[in-house]
Amino acid sequence: MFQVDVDYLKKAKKRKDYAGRVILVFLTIGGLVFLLPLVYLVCTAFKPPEELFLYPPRFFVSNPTFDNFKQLTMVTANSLVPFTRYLFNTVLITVAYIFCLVWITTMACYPLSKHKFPGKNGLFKLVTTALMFVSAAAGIPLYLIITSLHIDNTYLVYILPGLASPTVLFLMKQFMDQVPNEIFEAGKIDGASEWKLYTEIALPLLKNAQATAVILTFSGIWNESATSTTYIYKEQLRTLGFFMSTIGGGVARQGVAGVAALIMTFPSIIIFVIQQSRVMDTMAHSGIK
Amino acid sequence: MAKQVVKLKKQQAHKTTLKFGSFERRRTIEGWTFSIPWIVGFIWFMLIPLFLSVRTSFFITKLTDPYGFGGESTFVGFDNYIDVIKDPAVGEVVFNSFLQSLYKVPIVVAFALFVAVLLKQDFPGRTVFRVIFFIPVILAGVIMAYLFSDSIGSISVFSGMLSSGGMGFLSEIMDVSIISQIGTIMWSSSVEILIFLAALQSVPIILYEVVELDGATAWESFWHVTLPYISPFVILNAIYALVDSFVDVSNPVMGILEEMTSAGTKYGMASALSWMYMLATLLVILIFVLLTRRWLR
Repeated sequence: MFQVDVDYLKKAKKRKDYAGRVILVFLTIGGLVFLLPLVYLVCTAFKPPEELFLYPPRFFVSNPTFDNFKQLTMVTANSLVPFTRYLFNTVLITVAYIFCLVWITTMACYPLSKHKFPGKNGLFKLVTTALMFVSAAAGIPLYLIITSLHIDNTYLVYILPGLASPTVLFLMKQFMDQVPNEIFEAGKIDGASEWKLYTEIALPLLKNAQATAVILTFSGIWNESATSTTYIYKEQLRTLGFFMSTIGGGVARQGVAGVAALIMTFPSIIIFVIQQSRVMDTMAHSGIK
Repeated sequence: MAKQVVKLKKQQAHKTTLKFGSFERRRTIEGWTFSIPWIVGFIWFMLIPLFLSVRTSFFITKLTDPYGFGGESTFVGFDNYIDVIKDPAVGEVVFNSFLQSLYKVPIVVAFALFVAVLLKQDFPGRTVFRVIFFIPVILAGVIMAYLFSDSIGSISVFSGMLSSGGMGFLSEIMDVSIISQIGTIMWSSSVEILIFLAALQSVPIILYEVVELDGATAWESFWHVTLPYISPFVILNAIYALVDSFVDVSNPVMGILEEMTSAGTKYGMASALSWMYMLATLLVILIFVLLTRRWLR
């Protein structure tokens, strides 16, 4: 019945290929701009001192050396607290923070999306307005609250203040909205309690949203250094991010700072590469409608 | 007719049991129990500090009594606000940052939409490109500060690389600062690209098939299918970009705030400034939403 116009199909395919090439060119140019800082970071890490202080500064390295890496090992060997302690602190804080964050926000998003209860709309409006809060306005009161709770100088100060994140809750809620209500109704008919509905149905279905939350928050908490400077006086409780930022203090250690920054970046990139397909998925599904 | 009345009565009866019955109450309790950890954290570490900073903004404070509860600080009413408005330096910086946002936001949104449309196409290496365009989100905190700081030795990446080395010829043709600004703007559009990608994926493929059958070109189908369909996301992204540029740490207003708070005695003024700034931001967003409301589906 239908005659396939082979010529037309061939032409269409060719046209598409041509378009594909144009796209690739544009994306490569754009991608280069996005890659530049990373390349610059890598280059700086391998630059010998005389190249670091060239004026005008050069982008690429011409005589790459491992000197900066050697210096970094020397600096870390001489630090007040063993390097591994900083690493341990950071890993502990990151894992604890992300676990709690995901737990708290998934729990809050479940009734916000699937239940009807008085005060729900007000709560959600508050969340959306909170996205626009200028947190700098609350800096000093926040400091005083933290000191009055006596959680300064403990691990808790890294974890507690940032847990109630409106951005993550907003994302989770949008994703939860996409999950059909019928699934939960079915569970309820089978006699599942609310807790069971949350752990057995909501959590597995939110896996992609969780991955997104991990990516969006990971690099922030992994590189944390401001909290260490403001609230922590014991060197043993400070983070890797803080340690790395102190290394770059002097002009003489620019290269070492570059190496430190490079090393700090790697975990974030690895986490992203592992989780990225899930994130794209989430973004597609959450749709923010 | 009679059947309908019976049905209506049944519905009403159902409604009343819902309202006063235990079901509704249980749901309320459950709802609040599930959200309570988040709410407590939110109130404690966000709402209370914000409330206190409102209070601070009406006082000339002393370090020992930052909120004016102890009686050591003096209540000055709106004096702090008036002082901020009168300060010519502050006014200029705020005005400039608003002006900057006005031209930055359209560029960010247009660029993000463009890239998202390209990234949505099916071509080899798509994942790699998607990762590349997401790099700015990965490189947060210390590293960003390191890359974009203007201290000796580590000059801001974009101006650094353009004024030097391999691409020196560019700086001869054009003003370097413009290019470095474009670079920075592009760099701040990562999240917007992601949102657009998601939006594009939510457009039903059927629509494209229909217009293709009607003989529309890709260009036409973009303007008549894609853009109308994702217009809410364009507005969402514009708002996101606006907020992002207003509260960005590199925004000079944030610098003024920091300066005021680190001086120690100007907490009141700093709070007043940040509240006025926030209200102005909200006002801009409100105006924007009102203007664009007719494009929303």
